[in-house]
Amino acid sequence: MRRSAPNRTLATGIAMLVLMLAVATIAPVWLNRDPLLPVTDAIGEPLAPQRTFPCGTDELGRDVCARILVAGQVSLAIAISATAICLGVGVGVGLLAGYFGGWVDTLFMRFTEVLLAVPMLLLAITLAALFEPSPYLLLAVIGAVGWTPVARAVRAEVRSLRAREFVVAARAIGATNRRILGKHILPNLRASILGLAAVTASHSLLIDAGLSFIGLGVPPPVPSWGRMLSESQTYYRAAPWLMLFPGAALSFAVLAFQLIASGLGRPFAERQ
Amino acid sequence: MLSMFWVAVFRRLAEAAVVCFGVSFLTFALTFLMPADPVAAIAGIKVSPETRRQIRQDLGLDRPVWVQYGLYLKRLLRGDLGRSFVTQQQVSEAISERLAPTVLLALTAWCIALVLGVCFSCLGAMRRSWQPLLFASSSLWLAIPPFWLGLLLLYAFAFYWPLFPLGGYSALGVVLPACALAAGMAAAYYRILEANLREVLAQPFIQAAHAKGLPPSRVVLLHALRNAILPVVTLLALDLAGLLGGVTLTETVFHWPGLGRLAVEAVFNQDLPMLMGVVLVTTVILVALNAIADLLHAWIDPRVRQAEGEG
Repeated sequence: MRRSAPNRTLATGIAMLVLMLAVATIAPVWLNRDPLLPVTDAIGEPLAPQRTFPCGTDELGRDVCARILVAGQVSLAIAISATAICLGVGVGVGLLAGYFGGWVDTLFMRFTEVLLAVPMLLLAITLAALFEPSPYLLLAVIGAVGWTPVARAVRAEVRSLRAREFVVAARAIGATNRRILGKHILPNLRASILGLAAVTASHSLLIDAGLSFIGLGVPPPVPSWGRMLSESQTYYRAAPWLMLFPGAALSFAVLAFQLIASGLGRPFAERQ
Repeated sequence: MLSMFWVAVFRRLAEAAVVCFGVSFLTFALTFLMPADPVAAIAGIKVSPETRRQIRQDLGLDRPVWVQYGLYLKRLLRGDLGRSFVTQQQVSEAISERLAPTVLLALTAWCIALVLGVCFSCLGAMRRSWQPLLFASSSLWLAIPPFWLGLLLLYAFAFYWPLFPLGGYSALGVVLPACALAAGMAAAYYRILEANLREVLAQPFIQAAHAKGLPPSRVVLLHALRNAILPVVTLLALDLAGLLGGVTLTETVFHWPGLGRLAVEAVFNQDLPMLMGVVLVTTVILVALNAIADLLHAWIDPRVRQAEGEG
């Protein structure tokens, strides 16, 4: 019973992720509706969810469902690419700091500590506010704030692996540092890197949504979940579906990644 | 032993000071890197060369970088965070005005989360059959972003059933934002506490308590819970610190005049000194509480104290 529980969590998470990716890829084509153009004449008067518009329309007469799907494509693409950046930098720094120790370790870890000391979203807001908003800036910002927890976790694991017999043995037969890192240490990190990837992806989604909510995300007219929620604040009393569906989509995506992380033995969002 | 403890205290405080110093460098560097022109932010674009020179001189922008950083540090140590570009108000003053609402919201949310987390973890530890349901719902609560939950709560309990105000700073108005923030935290505490509780409940001293004929609720609440909460103290303090640093999105949703919203307003106004001031103050609060939590943990748990003394 207890053995199968984590696997079931993992399976649920992966199923949700696959479903989400499939819907985000196929549905916009199948729905065939422009998320940027009005689909009804009722502009200024959002239509409630109905058969033709399953999530209703917004104040400009645009189909909410189509917007959520396109926003999902954008958000998932950003979250996944940002995760790749975070992992690239974080694993690199963690490997170097953990393996070599000494001043490299001190330097990197002090730097990481300073970045980790600032709340993630606040740091992201500060960085994003300094430059012109664009999708690439968003990637850079999420990457800049998201790599630190990865680096820390990887460093801790590398430090414990470094002292194990197989590494000592490899060094004893004259393996180079590069070979030890690439052939002996990195493969042992695979499972935890996957877990970290899932955690980072859920963080990235939340930061992306948060920045968009404040108006620092992907610039309009490209729809994003965070900005849809932000815009819904004006109308949510008359049209609650404007906030209901984008938020549900965001939560679904975050839940998928968190379940995967949890199933891989990284219990929920590791808050520093 | 005692002197070892003080060495650990001193080391921890020194670490905290180094991090604060690093953050001051970070905020300075960010201000310096910003492409926007501070003179334009203060006096507008149409400005005579003399005024421009005057403002640059007033801000010290004509001096070398390291001198600027030195002056910046000197001002920081005196508690001077500069003046807002927009309102000309002292940044430290604006921040201290926002502290009371932030503290109120943070403490309320934190207490709600702690109470809910403790209740549900005890429930989960005592009723095994409820465990799958509690686990699943905690996963759900962990994934819901507080600012969206806040919007939902506003719709339900401020608009549909107008029990609470639609936002703003008031005693009744703290309930909804606090609940929105507490939900995810409570789920996190449930997860950790329940795992700890289960571990503790398997230990011999619990069996002894049962054998003495104590009622199960008493065993869980008095004997097991204390031991289960102990390892979480640091996390609890960190979360409180995170809340005290301002919760940007939730405060924005509820028009709560806290530190987080001050940061958002600063972003909108392109008010760099204000934004950097909030970042700096927030971080110092976080670092300080983090250090206090570690020391508190060492103080109440002799095992940690010993390990720190040795390490």
